[in-house]
Amino acid sequence: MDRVVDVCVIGAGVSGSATARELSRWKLDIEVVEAGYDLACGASRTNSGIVHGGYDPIPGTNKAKYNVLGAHMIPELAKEIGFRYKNNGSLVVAFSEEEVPHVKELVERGAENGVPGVSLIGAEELHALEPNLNPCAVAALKCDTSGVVDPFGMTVAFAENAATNGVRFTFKTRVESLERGEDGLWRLTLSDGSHVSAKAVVNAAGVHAIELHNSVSADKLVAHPRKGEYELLSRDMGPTFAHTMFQTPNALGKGILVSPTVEGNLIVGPDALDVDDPDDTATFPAGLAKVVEQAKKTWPDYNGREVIVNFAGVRPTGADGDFVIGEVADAPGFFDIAAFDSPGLSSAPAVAQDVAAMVAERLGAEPNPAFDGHRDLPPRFLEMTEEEQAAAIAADPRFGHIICRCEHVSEAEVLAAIHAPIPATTVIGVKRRCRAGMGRCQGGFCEPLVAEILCRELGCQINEVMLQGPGSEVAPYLRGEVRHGRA
Amino acid sequence: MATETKSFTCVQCPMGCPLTVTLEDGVVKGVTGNTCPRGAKYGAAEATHPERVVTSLVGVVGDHHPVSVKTAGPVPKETVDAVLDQISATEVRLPVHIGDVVVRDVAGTGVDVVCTKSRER
Amino acid sequence: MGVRNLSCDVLVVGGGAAGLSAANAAADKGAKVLIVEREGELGGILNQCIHNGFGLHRFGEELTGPEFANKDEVKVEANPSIEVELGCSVLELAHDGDRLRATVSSEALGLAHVSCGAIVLACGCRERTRGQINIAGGRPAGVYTAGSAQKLINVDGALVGKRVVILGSGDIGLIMARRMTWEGAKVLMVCELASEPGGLRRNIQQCLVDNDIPLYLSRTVTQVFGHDRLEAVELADVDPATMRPIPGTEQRVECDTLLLSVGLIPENELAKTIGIKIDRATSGPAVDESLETSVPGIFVAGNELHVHDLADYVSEEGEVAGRNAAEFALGERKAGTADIEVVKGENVGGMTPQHVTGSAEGVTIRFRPRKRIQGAEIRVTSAGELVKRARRMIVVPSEMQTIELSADDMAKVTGPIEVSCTPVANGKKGA
Repeated sequence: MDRVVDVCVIGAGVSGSATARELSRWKLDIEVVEAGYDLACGASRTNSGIVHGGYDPIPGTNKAKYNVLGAHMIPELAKEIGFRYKNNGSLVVAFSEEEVPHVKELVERGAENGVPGVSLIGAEELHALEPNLNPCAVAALKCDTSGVVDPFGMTVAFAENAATNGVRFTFKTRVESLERGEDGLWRLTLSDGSHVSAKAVVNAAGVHAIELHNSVSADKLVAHPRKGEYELLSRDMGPTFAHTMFQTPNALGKGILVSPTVEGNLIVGPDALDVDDPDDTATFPAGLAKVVEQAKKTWPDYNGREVIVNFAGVRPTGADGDFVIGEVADAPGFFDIAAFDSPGLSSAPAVAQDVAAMVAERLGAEPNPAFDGHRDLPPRFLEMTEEEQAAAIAADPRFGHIICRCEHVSEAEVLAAIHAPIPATTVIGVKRRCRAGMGRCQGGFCEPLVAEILCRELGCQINEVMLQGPGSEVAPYLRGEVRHGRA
Repeated sequence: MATETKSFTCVQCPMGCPLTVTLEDGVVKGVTGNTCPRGAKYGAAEATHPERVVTSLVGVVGDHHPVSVKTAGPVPKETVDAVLDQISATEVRLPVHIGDVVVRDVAGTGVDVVCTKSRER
Repeated sequence: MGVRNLSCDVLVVGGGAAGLSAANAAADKGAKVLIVEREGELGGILNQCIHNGFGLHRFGEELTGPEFANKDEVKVEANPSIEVELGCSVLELAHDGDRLRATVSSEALGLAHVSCGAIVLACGCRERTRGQINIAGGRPAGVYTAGSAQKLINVDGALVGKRVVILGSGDIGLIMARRMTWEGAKVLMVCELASEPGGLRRNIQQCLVDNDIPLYLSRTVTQVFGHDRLEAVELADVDPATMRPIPGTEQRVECDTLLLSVGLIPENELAKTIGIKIDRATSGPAVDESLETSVPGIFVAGNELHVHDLADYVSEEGEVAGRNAAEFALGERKAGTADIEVVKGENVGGMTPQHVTGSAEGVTIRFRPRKRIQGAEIRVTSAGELVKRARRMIVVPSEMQTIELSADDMAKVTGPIEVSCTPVANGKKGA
């Protein structure tokens, strides 16, 4: 169905969702159009989940500005809109005297970028903080303000709060083309054949943002997508390191990080592989082997055991290395959040605020007095006290029915995900929201149970339940269909 | 006189003895490799008229959860496909109980198909 | 409503093969028993094992999984001393004075503390996943553990695919090869990383040979392809010496399903909540001959103790654990005073019990041989003296070995017990 809106946001990743929420502070009719089947299907989900302090970007760049601002906003936002954040601090480790000058340089850069709590620490303090660190480490930059976040949960928080404030989200719909009409409206042709006309467009299309930009502007950007591969380890390994452990960047690259995640797992990665297809998130045996090898520089005891999953993400890197933010000079009303690679997650709240303000100013929008910026983090049975658990079950007995045995996720939490403001419609969608299937058995037991619940709640047949995007039915055939040649 | 030998693994118990059956003109002349009399009996039968117990599922009217079934006894191996076709096309109404016959004389084998699970609803 | 309080003599965690027989055995001893089962029905994994081959040892007849379970379920239901809570999960175990306490949760009970005199852990096992063997590639639909696919077809009535590659020759993988073939799917092959099959020989014969499904040893899956749904897998030959893929042997096979049958691990998360000592070789709790764990009063049986290949032995173990748990709870148990280590000798992998305390008359030792031996001798020695020996025509890693030590045998034990499993020396006949 064709429609006319004030603002169309392209992409429901962290930047698009955060911007949509900021835009909902104004009296604007907003639609977010997403090609994927769910929120955060691209780079927003498959990254390190680190809130960087801001000592790394070159002073004066967009990255330096937004990273520092964003990292400052995230702890408060986590409480305001309900996502998981932990301020665990980070260390950039020098493994030899030769690396110490570079670490010192980063400390100075931190000061120049205005990052609080950055200092240089010596070997003794370093090894006291991190007993599992390679004994040959000699010094480190210590940043007290950095942290870890659940990147999917952060995107969900922005998007659900936006939805509660009236933003509409359309999934599984790609923008095929867009052009600016003589009436000044942007006309978007979507993959479902419908059209959206918008006074302003926010280009938050992640790995596709540069190609969208180039389709409307003569000022061409060059995309340089890079794949990063990760291994995620079980919660037993989470306590191996307290801080996010970076290696000192050198001529060969930024090195491999080893970090606890906000959920208490341990994450190892990423490498950096130039790729042609920005949607190809497959891992390679050789790449994973290299990740393990390089991680040993930080963690000599790492043996690749206790891995529960490997994954890769493609980062929407631009050729000149900085974010491209703001209205495109030769495309009035078209606002870029392009080349939004690391530290995009940390920067997203600040970028969203700026871009939304630019859009609102351009459209002369009035503040939305009904805006409610608060969203509660959905309750987790596992994290409740026994009294709270008893009370929760008394109020809703389905809290008493444990679906995921590894993470103790109850049926009530699965149902909350399926009936959320932006509903989970797939097994992976449920898993990302409430952690059913995130544990050791990786859904071996609970995936069929979640599929049954989705079947019941969505009112579909069991063979229609999707794991993820279109064509990913968990079990595509009903009993007898294949034997009798009906499927 | 045509002599042939057939070799296969005994499935009578987890021992899994490697059996060799010697046949002359289709008649069993000897079984070797077995450790018990059951193995000898099985070897002779498997070499001349192999049989299988078939376990599968039948549908339930109005519910996608199937009911498990088996042939009440072994059926000739060459009939397994036909047996499965007939079982697979069968639907039952609940309740069912272990041992309930859901298909009589499946695929003309003279063997019935029975439920292996009781389901009230 | 607050936290509810319940009480029993013996709490049995898990209503599968081990739990059901443990409950019956404990009730027969006079204990008041509570079975807590997380699923909506009793039977555990047996409910999805619709194939036959169960019960030959225990009942002398060949049964399917649900029928095997039903035999014990009927006894449980008829026994007024046994209560059952379905849809109920145990969240945590703790000490409670001189008793034990389990925190449980269900829709019907809410949150409850179960105070009990003894506990039998019978939680079964779980499958190793794609992540644990770290196969690279995308994350498409169509990659399942064999047991998940088994549940989807046999319980939920939905088939996961039509063109199937199976990695791992564990029993569930073999059973699923036949199951999917019988449902009309094309099972292209079973690949096994090791140079020995992982499953029982009878299953290879009945599931693969019968259905013309090839089994490739020393071959593995190195990558999966496909974005939303699996399109193909990459296979490679494996060097048996290093167990690593051999570069240059890669081969792409188009398929829509990859089933993983790459090992089972005892489900010991609950055991860990009360600090039960776990044996690295079995991945299950370390026990004595009464199947008592390092926490007094907590017993364990079945696949949570160590992964079995036959349900019959799971039930047998359940009975031992249930009986001993009842005696413990009722204060009738003869406490063991010894602490004799049971040592893994040559060619002996995971083994139970890990130590002997003298708490039972005899000792049942179960172990997995490390490698195949045609014509093997199992020797049990203590301080260099022979305690017992037994001959086996063949031993293989996929089949657990059992050797029983009687009270008379145990009288010969003077120090640590060592078990070995070695080839019978040529020409030497048994004494």
